Amino acid sequence: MSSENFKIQIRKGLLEFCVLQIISSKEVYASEIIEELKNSKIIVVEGTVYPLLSRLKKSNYIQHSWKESTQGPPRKYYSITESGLGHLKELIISWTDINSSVKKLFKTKK
Amino acid sequence: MKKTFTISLGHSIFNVEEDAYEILKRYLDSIKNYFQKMENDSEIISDFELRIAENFSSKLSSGKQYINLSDVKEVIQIMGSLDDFKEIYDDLEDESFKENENIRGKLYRDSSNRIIAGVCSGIAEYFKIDPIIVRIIFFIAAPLQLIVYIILWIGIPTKDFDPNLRKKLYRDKENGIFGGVAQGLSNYLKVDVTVIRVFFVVSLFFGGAGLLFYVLLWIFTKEAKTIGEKMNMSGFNVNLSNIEEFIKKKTNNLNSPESTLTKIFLFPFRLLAPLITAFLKIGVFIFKTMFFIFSSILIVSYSILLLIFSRILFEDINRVEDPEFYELLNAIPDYFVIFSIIFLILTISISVVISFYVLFKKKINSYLFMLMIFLWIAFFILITVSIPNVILIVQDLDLLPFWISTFENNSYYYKWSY
Repeated sequence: MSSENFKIQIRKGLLEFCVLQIISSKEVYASEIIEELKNSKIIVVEGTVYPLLSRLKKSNYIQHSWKESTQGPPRKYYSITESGLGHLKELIISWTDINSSVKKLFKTKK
Repeated sequence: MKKTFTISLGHSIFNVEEDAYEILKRYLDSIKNYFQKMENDSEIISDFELRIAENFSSKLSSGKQYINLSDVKEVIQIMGSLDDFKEIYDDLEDESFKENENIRGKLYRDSSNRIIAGVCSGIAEYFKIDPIIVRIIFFIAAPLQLIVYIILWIGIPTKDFDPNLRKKLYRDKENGIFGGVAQGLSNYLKVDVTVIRVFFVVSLFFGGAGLLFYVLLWIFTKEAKTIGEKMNMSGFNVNLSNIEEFIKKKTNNLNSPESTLTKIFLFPFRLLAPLITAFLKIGVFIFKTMFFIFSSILIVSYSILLLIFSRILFEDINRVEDPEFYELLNAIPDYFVIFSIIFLILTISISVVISFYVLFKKKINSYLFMLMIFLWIAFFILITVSIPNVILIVQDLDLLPFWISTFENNSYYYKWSY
């Protein structure tokens, strides 16, 4: 397993978590989500976000509404739903669990 | 100067240069295909297009009012190509998608690329070769293929295949010598063109099978003219490295150096090429003229026969004027006359259709044409079956007209009298 592959697997696992986290803080439109993900280097190419958004919507974790924008065509804004918040909480719990156990592992090795 | 296309993308309108348009279209098609199979959600694609549109708008200014190839390339780089998506979503592909990836193993008729029923094209898809090759084999194997074709037509279900992912055999006239057949094959098979040329030349000395193949391919393959067709030649899949390669190839081709050996080898053919092309053009012209003459003679003579037969059916022949002829006509059963008339009408219309196709490339509804052929065969069989019966009836009445009586010594005529 190369380090490149490792990165891909990690990003893949965390993508849904990160997207939900971004949407949970405020109402955002797709380009903003992409910008944030790109800044934190979670995604490399933008296209990968769209199928995920579609899937999250299908599982009822997020919803969207159209809003007029000052420039260009109307934009699609995403917001999180009740069940999405619940799902996010579960994800946060499992993430902190994993995070702390990985940290513990590194400490004992030292 | 470059041609531009006007496209609407994500609620906006853009002018896109031709080569950029071809690549963009192909890119969006491949993405559409991928996501539709995976998620069956058209919203992904519209979101996707919206984002590309945003990106394009940021590239336009009053100084630059069109989208060019490097803009498209940049957008594809930002959005990612199929390979990037496959990396992330490899575990999520559902059953139908896997089936599509792995279509080999089941034979379908190809409804997206068919001439009659898509049998040849389906077989080609099955073996991952170009339909043209299968069609030529079917063409050569006449008339056995008609039966095989019909059996396969009935037996195999249809399916749509993605035409963009299919490698297609074209003639590459730009880089070719005669018709670009060898160059086209080389692009298609990814073999060096010299190998194929040597193969063609060598095959000339073994009964000229290669020549026949060359001519057939020349007739049946299209010349790659648009950028899209040129990309199809070698099964172009949209990702960045492929686009780079394509652009590089396009600029390199103009002055790619040939080795001396190639030059020496090609010299006689370069010399012959214009001659042969001219001969071929004359040949096609002569063929078309001959075809026209023969088909019109055929159609006219059939029409005369048709007139005679319909006269027999619908008009009363004067009994007093020609008693023998009258009795002969009465003896011939009506069903035979009706069969013959329908048969003749079918023959005439089929000849007209084929003539139009050969001379003017006018296409006709293939189902209608097949129906006509079926009926034609059916009536042909009916007539053949009823001919002995009719001859017997006429003989029984001893009514053979004089022009048959003169053949009375003919042994084959006597066979019927036993």
